[in-house]
Amino acid sequence: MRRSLILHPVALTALVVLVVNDHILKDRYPGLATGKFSDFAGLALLPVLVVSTIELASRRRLSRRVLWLISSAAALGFVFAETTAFGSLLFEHGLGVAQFPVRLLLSGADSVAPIRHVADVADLIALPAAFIACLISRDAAVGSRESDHHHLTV
Amino acid sequence: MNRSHFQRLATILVIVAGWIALVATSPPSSTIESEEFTGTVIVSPERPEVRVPFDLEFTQDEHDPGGSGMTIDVVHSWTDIAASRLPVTIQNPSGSVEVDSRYFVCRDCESSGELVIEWPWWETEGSVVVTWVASAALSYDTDTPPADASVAFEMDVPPIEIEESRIHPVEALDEPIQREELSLEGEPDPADHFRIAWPGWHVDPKEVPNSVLVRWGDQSATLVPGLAVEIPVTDLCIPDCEAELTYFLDREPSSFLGPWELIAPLTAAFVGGGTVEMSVNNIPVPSAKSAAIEREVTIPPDPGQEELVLTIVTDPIHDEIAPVARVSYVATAADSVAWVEYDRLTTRVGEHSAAYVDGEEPKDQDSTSVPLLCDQLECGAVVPIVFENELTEAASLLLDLDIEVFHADIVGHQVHASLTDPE
Repeated sequence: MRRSLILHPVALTALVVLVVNDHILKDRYPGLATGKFSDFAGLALLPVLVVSTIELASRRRLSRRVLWLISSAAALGFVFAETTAFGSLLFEHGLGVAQFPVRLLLSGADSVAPIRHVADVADLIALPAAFIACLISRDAAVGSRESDHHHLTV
Repeated sequence: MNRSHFQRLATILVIVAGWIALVATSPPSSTIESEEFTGTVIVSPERPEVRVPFDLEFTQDEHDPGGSGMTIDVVHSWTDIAASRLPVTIQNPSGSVEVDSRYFVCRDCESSGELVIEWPWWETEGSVVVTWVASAALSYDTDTPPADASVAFEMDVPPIEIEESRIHPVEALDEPIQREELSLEGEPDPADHFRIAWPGWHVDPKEVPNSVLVRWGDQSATLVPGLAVEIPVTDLCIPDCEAELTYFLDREPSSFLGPWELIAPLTAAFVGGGTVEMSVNNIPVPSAKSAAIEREVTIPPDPGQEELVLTIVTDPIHDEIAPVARVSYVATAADSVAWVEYDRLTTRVGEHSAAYVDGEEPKDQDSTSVPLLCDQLECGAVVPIVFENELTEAASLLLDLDIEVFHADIVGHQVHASLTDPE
């Protein structure tokens, strides 16, 4: 059985890139690269997070078929948000709702505030990153089998 | 704790961190806002559509045209849009004007649009004042916007045309500023009532009272813009259903910069059966006349003195209506004027902390208005001027007295400004 995808080095790297880029690099080195880093990292991280959360809650591993489905759904959602006004609006309000509990705790916000997002077709360059979860799941499974084998032979 | 427990704990921690990073904290944002712009227009059957063009101008040239990677969105917002209960249509009251903004590098870029305010076509009389506050903003998905970014917002609000017959310069408080006659035909139900609303003034509300008093019989109610007052029909239908509503200023205006206008007719509606006939009788008042007198007063150094009294006396005026002196002053003193009081009513005219340095322009200037009480011989007012600190050096006040008189000629134009110690 493979270990949780979220502990895979690629997933951890995506998480670090997302945080550092959003909060430090975009500010200090604004440009095309930092503009896209977060798209790549976020799109790579989203399916991994969804899969890992479901697996943690259900205490069983999801099949690769389900993994592909989740990754495809993330990719389609991204396309929807970046190419249509309604998708962009949905994204703004959806994330606004998701952020509300944190804003409530940190700043005492009393209402949901949508985030600001501008649909940009050029962001679709990051689309392949949505399927990184599928790639690293095989790697994680192999790594897990090797680890288990090593554990048995010791 | 064995290895699987440790791995499970690590999984939980990273998942929580991942969701927080992905959802809760992203994306950070910052905004540059333009100055707010206030506009007021009036729509009526005679002027059923008002178009207010606006322009946005934004500048940012710090970054490479290849792409800043920042989300920049130009948004103009309209707040405080107020109108009466009539369903005035306001097109484009909010929303965003998107520029080619994803990789926004722009010097003096412009975008324009139009705010359209429409009168409801099915209403054949009345008028509505629409006021709003507009601003524009550039939003970034970074914590700090570029230092060179700016946004400017301009509106070209058409001037308000005031019909001469509807101008009401201020008078004494006990003089009605407008009368309306209501008559009701038919048999009203005791539960019926009149609904009277007052849209507001045509000019800056800071310069005029923010409410008026409406009286009928021995009763009265205070009207404030935008809020309706309901008068039970039984109050008006004694002994018959004909009543006269009179409107009064309910407090002394803080300044007398008129003319201004009480929107007429006020929107009165009868809620219930029957028909209401309403006629408006405006009270004509001639325009104000004014005389400006400038006087410089030197205050000798007098340690310990904290209050001086300015006495304004005008020559007799052949009229029963009290004139008004608008006093503005420039204080060229180290410790300058704190406030001006009149007749137990303190009119706070601003914080004054003009540090006077030789050769500099005086920084301290403000104004207030005082009614000049008239008897048969003269009109006078006493204005105590209070200093925040003890005077330790010579100071001077440049007094600019602007006396406005309604309904009368000014005789003499003479003003005596004298400073006396209240002791």
